[in-house]
Amino acid sequence: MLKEIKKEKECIMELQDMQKSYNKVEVLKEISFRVQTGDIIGLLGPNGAGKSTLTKVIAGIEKADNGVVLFHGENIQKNAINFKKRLGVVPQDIALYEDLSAYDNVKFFGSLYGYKGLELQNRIEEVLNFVGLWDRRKESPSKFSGGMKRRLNIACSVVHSPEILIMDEPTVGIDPQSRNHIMHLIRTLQERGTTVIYISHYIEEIEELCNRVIIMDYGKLLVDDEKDIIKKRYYDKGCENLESIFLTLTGTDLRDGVE
Amino acid sequence: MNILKVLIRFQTGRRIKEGFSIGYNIIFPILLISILGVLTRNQFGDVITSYQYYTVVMIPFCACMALITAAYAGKEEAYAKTAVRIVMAPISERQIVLSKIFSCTIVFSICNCFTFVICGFIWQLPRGIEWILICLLLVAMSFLVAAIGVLLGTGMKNFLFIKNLINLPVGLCAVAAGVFFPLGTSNPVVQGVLNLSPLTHVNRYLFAMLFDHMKSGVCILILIHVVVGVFISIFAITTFKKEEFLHGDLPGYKE
Repeated sequence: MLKEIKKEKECIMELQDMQKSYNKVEVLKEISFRVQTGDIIGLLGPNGAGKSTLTKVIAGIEKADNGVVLFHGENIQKNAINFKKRLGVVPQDIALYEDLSAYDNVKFFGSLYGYKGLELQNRIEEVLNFVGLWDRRKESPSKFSGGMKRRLNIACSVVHSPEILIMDEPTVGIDPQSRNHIMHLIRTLQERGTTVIYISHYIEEIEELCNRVIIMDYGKLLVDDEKDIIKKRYYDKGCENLESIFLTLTGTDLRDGVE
Repeated sequence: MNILKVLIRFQTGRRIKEGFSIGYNIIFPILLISILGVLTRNQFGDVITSYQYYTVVMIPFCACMALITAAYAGKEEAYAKTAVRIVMAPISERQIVLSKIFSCTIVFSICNCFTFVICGFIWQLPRGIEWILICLLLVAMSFLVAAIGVLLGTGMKNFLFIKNLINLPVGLCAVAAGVFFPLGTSNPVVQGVLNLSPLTHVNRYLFAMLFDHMKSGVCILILIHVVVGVFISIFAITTFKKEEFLHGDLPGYKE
């Protein structure tokens, strides 16, 4: 799982004119961007911006009305199974069987990717060591703290060594120590060549972790660039950090009615 | 194929572990047969005892009640919130649906056949009966029930609605088939209504085989169950909806 898959920076994935509507409400409006190997892209946006829909479309859970997702230049619809083998998703909700042990959870999700026998065992051991849960492998997630569950959630998503990993708010509701540990895990994954799309409402996490930032609102892509370039561009407009840039672009109105 | 095997093994383990099948297909029918058998023991003649009657009619009825377990199997990942991982894994929708149908069929079949053999032994069903043929019928029924249950479970969001939807027709079919009390009528209209229940035919052919050694009816029933089960399985695969599979609706369940 942790074998080095480092490559020269190349375009690993490209979204072209993605459009999606629910009940005639456009939630994705011609979204286009490119993802390069080794990137950690921070995807930011208020509630209702279209982040989750975009994630679902990339992961193949939902079909876009228009547009294509290219993975290594190939439309993912043409070979969805191959794309899924190389994609990892850390869902926002803890997606674990509470009655199974940590080991059995990782084993089951690893086996869905075709791993078995000794290779699967090695991957489980490696990935559970990676998230610091090998010593607790026999316990079920129901006995775990929030941070441990989050780490196991990540372990289940990276057991198959995905080339590209989408993380949907992986640090929600956990203590600073666990958050720090998860940040470290993501950096390690990136150093070893995994490309990460990181979705979060914690702007300081995006600031700390990501080299590129995408800001969305009302289904539109507002900004897509290197983090430092964005910060430089908005510094002259009085924005000292990413949070002030985010609020400048998306406004300060509450989004209570939007999910 | 390998992934399908992995899924079937996993799902079968979960069906056994959750205990619904053991409860509804072993403990529940044995209890009902015992209670109804005791209560009605003086109302049956020499040809058949009350225990034998309820053994024959109760087990197919309980096999049908497994529809709820199969529907739950279809919704299980939605409640565990692991459905998202299943959908994102390199698995086809066909494999998801088939794994659920096959695992339910395996567990229901084992439970139903076990209960029939145990009850048949305890309450001494006629000697020389075709155990294998009866067990094959129970396997075929389990397959059909699993296919219908999984179709409902993966195709609908609200499990309580599915449960209520299943309970009423199965209950009516059971009454019409004489599961709770024997029904006999010479009125052709009433008989026509009773014949609408599939369980009526199952019970009729089972009695015909057990007491009159007529096997052909049971053989036809097995064939019908398998053919209809195959069609419903195909229908469940083609109508599989990711959205319904991903989301569930139970009291206490939060999206």
